[in-house]
Formats: sequence, structure tokens, C-alpha cells
Amino acid sequence: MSFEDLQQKWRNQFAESSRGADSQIEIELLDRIRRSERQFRHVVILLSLRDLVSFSLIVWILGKILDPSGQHLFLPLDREHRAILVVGIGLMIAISLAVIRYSFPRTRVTTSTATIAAIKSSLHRTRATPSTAEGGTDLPERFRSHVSRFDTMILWRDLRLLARAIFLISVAVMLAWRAQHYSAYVWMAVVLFTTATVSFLTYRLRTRAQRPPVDDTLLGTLTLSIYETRRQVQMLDNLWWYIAPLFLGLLLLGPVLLVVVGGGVRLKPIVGGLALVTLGWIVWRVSRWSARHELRPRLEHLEKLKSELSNDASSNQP
Amino acid sequence: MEPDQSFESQFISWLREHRNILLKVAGSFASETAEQADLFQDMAIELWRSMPNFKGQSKPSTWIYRVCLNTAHTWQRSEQKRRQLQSPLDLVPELSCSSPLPGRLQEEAEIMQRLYQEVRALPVAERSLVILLLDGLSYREISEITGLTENHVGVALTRTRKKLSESLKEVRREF
Repeated sequence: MSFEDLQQKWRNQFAESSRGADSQIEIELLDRIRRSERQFRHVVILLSLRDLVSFSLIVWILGKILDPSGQHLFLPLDREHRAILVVGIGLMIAISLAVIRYSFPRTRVTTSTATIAAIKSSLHRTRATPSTAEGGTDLPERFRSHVSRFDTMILWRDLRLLARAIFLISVAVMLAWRAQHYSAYVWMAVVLFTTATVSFLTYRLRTRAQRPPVDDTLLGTLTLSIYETRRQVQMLDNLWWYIAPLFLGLLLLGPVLLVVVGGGVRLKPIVGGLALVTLGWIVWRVSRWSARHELRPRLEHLEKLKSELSNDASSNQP
Repeated sequence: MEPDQSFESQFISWLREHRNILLKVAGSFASETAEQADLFQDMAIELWRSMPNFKGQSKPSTWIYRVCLNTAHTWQRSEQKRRQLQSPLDLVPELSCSSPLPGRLQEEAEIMQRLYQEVRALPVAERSLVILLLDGLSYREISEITGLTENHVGVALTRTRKKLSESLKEVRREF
């Protein structure tokens, strides 16, 4: 048996499937796809809801605790309002858990036994079918105007990040504007938040702008994946430039201001400060861990694959 | 927003017409039937998501190969990771074929099974090239799918073809 015979067998291995098996696979696949799209939409809706709850909560809290006279930056929150705050935070945690549940389902979506059997049975059919390399249908015009939902969602996520940043800075600016006695500290926090946000946005925009001009071939896709993974590794490995100003700003707004207003060092601000520093350290460590344990192996694998694909041939040239 | 009916029907029509591409790629990257079905599903979902990006600059089959091979590469990475995390006992046992095939067909099935085994034994990059070669695609078409130059494809495939022919000598003698 020659190589050409094997080639012939390979090309002709699948017969026209029976309509029943085809319909079964198609119905199930469409069902899976619809479910997957629905899950994706639910995640986006839940994230929007969480943002809406957190924004509303912050605005409501500020409305309650800001001193209208401007003498003090904040007034103590009464018991009833504290309960509402706890419920709001609980709601945000619940929504976050629901997002995790939708993003990482406990069971992997697998094809049913019937579909597996149909696929397996078609793997064993040997009647001839027309070659896939021959012919091809024309592209229906409507596809060109159909916007990719996936790309839209990514763009939408970027916009949400921007909205959050603007909100945080606006709140800090408003606080600084109202503060009569301690405005310098709050303005410093504003500068730090703005630095963190602007650096992050600049980095993201620059990363997008510098994306290599690639097509959707295997090599092109690999090149793009390598570029994006490398950028992610670099960013997560050096996230201190984002975490440091953000947490320093929070330290200034919280514990430092409490010490200054209170006129001395007390236990509460110290504990709060330590908690913030610990949280910042954990975020930094987690980002580095994820860069080293999740993304670096992926990067190495992609680079190996690209090298196999592009250099293998040239290294074997006579 | 729910996808319109015409989009779905076009997807189904492509899936019917080019389903063998998905099956061949699935068989070349996964050995267990359940894994093949998983990969088949992943490729179908990716095709669905990528369909709006199809510009019509190449034949649908060429484009489908690109999407399927890219998805298979990604699937392979995640699958390796998943396998490292679980014991072999957790794998779904392969479903047995519902009924034995008649003599000639059985023989053909065994040849294909051996061929798939050999293809799966190749490194991922070579495997992708071999699938395209076996399917009778020209160097130009393979170059369009992989992004390599035709010359590059020719050199790579000469070596891979030789390697595959060597390993399949036994199969040829048997049949």
C-alpha cells in the first residue's frame, strides 16, 4: 500500500452520515452553543449588576456620612445604615459567587453519550465523500455585517474598567474638595489613584496598539497568542506599579487620615493599615504566582509550538 | 440578543458540509472517543464564534481548517494540564462500537485506526501539516492555513512524509 493509497483512504474515510445521527449531533451542538452564549451573557449581566450595586452603595454611603458643614470629612454611620451597608456588601459577595459559578461550572460541559456514539459510528464509516479541499460555498453577505459578540464583550469589559476608574477618582476628588482641614491628604490620594489608573490604561492601550499585524493562520494565531501571553506575564510580574499607588492612596484615605483626625496613634487605624498592607501584598503575590505558574508554562508551550512549526523546516533544509 | 435563524442555518449547513474536517482533526488530536467528542464540540463552538470574522478571502474549508487546528492546539494545552491533575481512572472509558463491522470494512477501520495512531504520535506542529497533506491539500492551501511559505511547507512535509511512511511500513505489509 503506497502513501497515496493511505491518502485516498484518509480522504474517503467518512461516509454521508445518516440523517438521524446528523440531526442528533446538530441539535445537541446548537443547544450547547446556545447554552454557552447564554452563560456568557449571564456573566456580563451579573458583573454589570455588581458594578451597579457597588456604585450605588458608595454614592448612598457618601450621601449619609459626609458632613454637610464641611467641618469634618465624615460623620459616624448610624445602626440602621450600617445594616443596609452589610446587606449591600452581602449582595455584592453573592453576585461575585454567582459570577464564579457561571464562569467556572462545576461540571465540564460534555457531549452526551448519544452524540459520542454518533461521532464514533461516523468514525467507522468508510464510504466515499467529496474532498473537503474541493469547492466551497460563497460567503453570505449577512456574516460580514454580523458583529462578533465575543469582541464586543471584550470592548465592553474595557469600558467597565474605565467607568470604575473614573468613578473612583471622582469620589476621591469630591472628598478632597469638601475636606476643609485635611484636604492635602485626600488630594495626595487622588493623585495616587489617578497615577495607578492612568498607568494601567496607558499600558492597556499601548499593548493593544503594539499588537503585531497578524492574520488568522496557525502561525499568525500563535504569534498573537505569544505576544498577548508575554504581555500578560510582564504585566502580572510587575504589577507593583499599579498596586502600590492604589493601596498607598487607600492607606492615606483610611488609616492615615484617622490618625491625623484622631490626633494620635490608636489601635483601629493600625489594624486597618496592616490589613490594607497585607491585602496589597496578597494581591501582588497572587499576580506573580499566576504569572509564573499559569502563564509562563503556557508561553513556553506556545513558543515551542511556534518554533516547531516555523523553524523545523528551515533547520532541515539540505 | 439571540442569533438569527439564517445565521444558525448557515452554521448547520457548513457543519454538515465540512463535518469531516472536524472529525479528522478530533481523531488526530484525541485518542479517547469522549475526548474526541469534547474537542469536536469545542471546534464547533469556536466556528460559531468565529463565523462573523470570516472575510471570504479564502475557501470556507481552508478557513475551517484554520479555526479547527487553532482550537485543537489550545485544547491540547488544556488537556495536557487536565491530565496532569487527574488520575487515569477519572478518564471516561471509551465506548465500544455498537456492532462489529463486516470483514472489508473492519480491515479499513483498522488501517485508519493505525494511521490515526501514527498521526497522533507526531509532534503537534508536524501533525497539523500531515492532516492537511493527507487530506490532499496543495502546498499553497497548506501555506494559507499555516502561514508558512510554500517552500517551508514543502521542506517540512518531505521530512514528515518520510517519517510517516517509515512508521507505516508495517501497516502496508499487513494489508
